[in-house]
Amino acid sequence: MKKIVIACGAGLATSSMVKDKVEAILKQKGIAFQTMQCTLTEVDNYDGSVDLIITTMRVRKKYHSPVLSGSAYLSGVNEDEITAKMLEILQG
Amino acid sequence: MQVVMDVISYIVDLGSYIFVPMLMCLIGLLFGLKFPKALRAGATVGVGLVGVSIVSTLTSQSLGPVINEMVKVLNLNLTAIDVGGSPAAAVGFGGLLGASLIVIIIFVNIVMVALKLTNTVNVDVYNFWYFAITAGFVQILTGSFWLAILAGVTHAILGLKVADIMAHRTQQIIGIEAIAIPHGFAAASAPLFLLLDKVYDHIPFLAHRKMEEEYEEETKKGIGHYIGAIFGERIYLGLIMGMFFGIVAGYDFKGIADVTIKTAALMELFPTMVKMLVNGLIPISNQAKQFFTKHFADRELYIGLDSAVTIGHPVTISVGFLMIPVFMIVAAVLPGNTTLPLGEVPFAAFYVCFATIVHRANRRRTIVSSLIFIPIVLWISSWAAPMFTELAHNANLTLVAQNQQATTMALGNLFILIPTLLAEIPVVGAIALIVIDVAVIFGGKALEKYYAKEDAKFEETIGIESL
Repeated sequence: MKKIVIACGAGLATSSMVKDKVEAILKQKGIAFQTMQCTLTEVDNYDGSVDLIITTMRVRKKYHSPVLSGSAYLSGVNEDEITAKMLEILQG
Repeated sequence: MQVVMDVISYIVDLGSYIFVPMLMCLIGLLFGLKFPKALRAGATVGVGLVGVSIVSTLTSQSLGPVINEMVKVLNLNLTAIDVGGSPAAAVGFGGLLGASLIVIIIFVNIVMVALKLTNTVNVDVYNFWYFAITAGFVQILTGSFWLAILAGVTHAILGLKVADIMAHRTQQIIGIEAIAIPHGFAAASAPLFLLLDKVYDHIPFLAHRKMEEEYEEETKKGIGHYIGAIFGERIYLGLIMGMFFGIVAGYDFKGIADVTIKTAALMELFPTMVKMLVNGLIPISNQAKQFFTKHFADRELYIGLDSAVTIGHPVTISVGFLMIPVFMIVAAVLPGNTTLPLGEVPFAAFYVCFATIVHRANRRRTIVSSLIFIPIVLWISSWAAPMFTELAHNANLTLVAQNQQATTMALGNLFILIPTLLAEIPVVGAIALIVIDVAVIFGGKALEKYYAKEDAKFEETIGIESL
C-alpha cells in the first residue's frame, strides 16, 4: 500500500483535481494506494511517513519524502513526464 | 413565454440543492459527458450543497451568538463574520446564476480565443463562484437576470485579461509552464499591485536588487514561521479563536469548551463539504479543457488555473503568515470595517500571492503592497456583507445568527466591486459594463506589449526574480 499525500493551497480545489487524475492512473496500473489531501502547511505532518508528496505548486522547501509537482495534471502540459516520474518513485 | 417562466420559477423554488444538481447534470450532458457520469457530477454538487447547509447550522447556532457577545464586550463594530471562501462557493453555485454562468463564461472564452482576443482558457470551473457572486449582487440590486449575467461575465473577462498580461511573469516567477491565473480573486488584486509597483520604482528602499544565487529555503526560522505553524492550520486557528470568543464573551467552562470545538469543527467541515462540490465540477472542467486543446491545437494557449498553484513561493508563504496578525489588528481598528476575519485567516497567502508575482518576489515590495491591500479587502468585504447575507439566504443557507451579517474576505475584491457599481448606474448600467469589457479587451493588448517589454528589460539587467 503506497501512501500519497496531495497538497494544495487550501487542501480543496486543485488538490482534488490532481487526486482525481493520480487515482485513475494508479488504479489502471494496479498499484494499491491510499491518498490524503491537505494544505501545503499541513504537509509537515505527513513528511517522512508517506511514499510520495504531490503538490499542485512548485515548492522549494526540502522534504524527507520524495516530492513531485503535480501542476502538469492541471495544465495538461507534460503530463506523461510527471506520470513516468511518479511511477518510478512508487514502483522503483 | 409565461408558461416557461412559471416552470422555471417552480423548479427554482424547489430549493437550490434540488435544482442545481439537475442543472449541473444537464450541463454535464451539454459538455459531452455520458449520462451516468453527468448524473454523478450533478448529484455530487447537490450533496456538497446539502453538506454546507447542514454545517451552516453550526455558525448560525453556536458561533453567531458567541461572536455577538464578544463584540459587545470588546465594544467592536464587527457585525459581519468572515465565514470563509468555501461556503461562499456554495452560495455562488446555489442559484440559477452560477449554473448559467458556467455555460456562458466558457462560451465567451471560446469566442474570445477564436477571435484571438485572449490566449488564456479559464477551465478552473470551481472558482467561477466568484463570478456568480458578482452576478448575484447585481441581481439583488437591480432585479435584472441579464444585467447580472453581464456583470458576472465582465468579472470573468477582467480576469482573463489580467491573466494574459501577467502570463509571462507568472510562469517565470512560479516556474510552471503554459499557465496563467484568471482566478476571480488573485487577478483582481493585480491592478493595484501593478500601479504600486510603478510608485516603488522611485523609492530607493524598495529598489530591485540582483539575486546572488538561486533561492533556497531559509535556514533561520523567523516569526512568520511560528505564526504559520499555529494559525496556518485551520484546526488550530479554530480552537484558538473559539476559545478566545468563549472567554471574552464570559461563558462558563462548558460554554467555552463547546464553542472551542465547534469553531474548530466549522473551520474543517465547510471545506470538507465543499470538496464534494469541487469533485462534481471536475468532469465539466476536464471536458472544457479537452475542447480547447482539441480545437485550438495550433495555438499556444495558457491554461488558466487556481491561484493555489502560486502559493508555494517562499516569499508568498512567509509574507502570508506575517499578514495573519495584520488582518486581525487592522480589522479591529479600521474605521468603517465591519468584517471579523475568521474563515479566510489561515489562507492569508492567497491575499499576497499576486503581489509576489507582480513585484518579482521582491520581499519588501510584497510586504508594503500587502499592508496597503488589507484595509481595501476589509472595506470591500464589509460593503459586500449585506448583499452576501441576502444571497446566502436566497440559496437556503443561513450562515449567521439574527442581527448578524455573513461575508468573507474573499469578497474583498475590486472585480466584484467595480462591475457591481457600474451595473447599478440607472438606465446605462449595461452600456457601462460593455464599455469596460471592450476597453479591457483592447487596452489589455497594449498592456501585454508594455509588460512584455518591461519583462524583457528586467530579465536582461537583473534576472527573473529580485531580492
